Amino acid sequence: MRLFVRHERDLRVFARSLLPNWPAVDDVLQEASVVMWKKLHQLQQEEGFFTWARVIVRYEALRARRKAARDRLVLSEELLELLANEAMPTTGDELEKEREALNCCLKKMGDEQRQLVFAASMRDGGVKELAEATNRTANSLYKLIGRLRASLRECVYRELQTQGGNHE
Amino acid sequence: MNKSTEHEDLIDRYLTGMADEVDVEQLEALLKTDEELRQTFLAASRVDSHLREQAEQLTLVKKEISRPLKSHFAWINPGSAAGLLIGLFSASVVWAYVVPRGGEITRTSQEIVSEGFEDSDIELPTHLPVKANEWCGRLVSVTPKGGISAFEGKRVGRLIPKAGNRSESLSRIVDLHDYPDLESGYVRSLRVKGSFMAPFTGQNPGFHVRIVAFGQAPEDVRQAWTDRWNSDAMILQGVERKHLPEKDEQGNWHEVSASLEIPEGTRSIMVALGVWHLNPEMSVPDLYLDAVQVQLVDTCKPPAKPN
Repeated sequence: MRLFVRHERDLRVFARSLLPNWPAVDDVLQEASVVMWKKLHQLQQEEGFFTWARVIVRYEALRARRKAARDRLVLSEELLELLANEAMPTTGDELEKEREALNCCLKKMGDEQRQLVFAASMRDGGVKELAEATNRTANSLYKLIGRLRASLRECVYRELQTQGGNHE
Repeated sequence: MNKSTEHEDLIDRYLTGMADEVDVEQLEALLKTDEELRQTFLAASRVDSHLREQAEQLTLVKKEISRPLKSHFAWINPGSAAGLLIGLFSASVVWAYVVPRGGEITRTSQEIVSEGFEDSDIELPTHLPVKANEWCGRLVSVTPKGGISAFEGKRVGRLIPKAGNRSESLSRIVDLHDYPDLESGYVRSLRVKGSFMAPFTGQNPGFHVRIVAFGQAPEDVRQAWTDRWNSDAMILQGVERKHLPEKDEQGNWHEVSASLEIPEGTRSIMVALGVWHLNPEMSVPDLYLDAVQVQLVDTCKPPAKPN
């Protein structure tokens, strides 16, 4: 569990790229942590934990996808395999640089803009609640949030370039 | 809107749960054929993850500020205050109360364990305990899934039975040498309470709380328990409370408690909380466990009035 906790944030990032929403990410990570715990004896060296754990998260994500076979709002298993393969090269250090870059970009935003961006990342319904509280339609808020998120991604990309990062 | 912005907008709708079936189909087709867009998608999902982390931290901070203080209280009778063990060992939360009931019975309760499995880094030995004050068992700390809330706090213990096991427990030894001798005229009991839930696999398992008193020191309890079928003298006394939920109650938390009056000569007490199956041929499913409390209760019974 110590190793899992140390790498949990990065494993969540990986799981998020394969799963359609946060409850699914939470479920898969919990199942994966149990599998890791049961199979820990298979791990040869602690240094290999992250790579090993990603394989388990990938397997559990695909298993969850199969369970949701009739759900039309999820991506196909074939595409998830493709994404999992292409997501693999991102290391923990690169993710940490991204987090730092994101923090810099969030600081550049106004309080209201930051609140909007976080509202979409918190529990389901956060945007709707905010829309009601501010007398706006949820749709217009989502559009605004979409623009803010796009500008954040652009800002993160620029920050990484400035720091000499090599992210695509 | 140019193509690139349109595609990013599509990705955002998917990541924020706003995409409909047509959006997802379109995104699927685009991602399958466009490697560059897949990189954009992966970058967007990473930023979404980092944002979620930040949002969760903010939520936690807000909850921390607004959470009411935990009520660790003490009603202490000055006459019995000297007998209390405040801070005897760090894992214990100690409190006490005295309940006079018409001058007939005085009861002092001391909470020696209060466990909610909130420590995400918890690592337990899986064998039976060989020393006091340590949980042992195949248990990890998790955030319950599937819309289930913890009984207390945010996390719960998930007991993961070994494959094929027909019962599984979390156990711990209480060493009575850690506590003051019983005053004359009192009887001492150990009370154990825990909340159980088994939402996995659709099975209908039972839950148990077991309390067993041994004359041996904690380090010898494991052997004594293993040899229990060979010699009755190893165990001074034991009690087991079993609870089998109704089928329509499977998704609920079940509070199960047991109490044992500690017999004379007891040195160690093993407490165990776990899961079992009515059908002995079936292995047991995983179990959520939360809000475990272990209390020592000293009760004073005045001598009976002569007729």
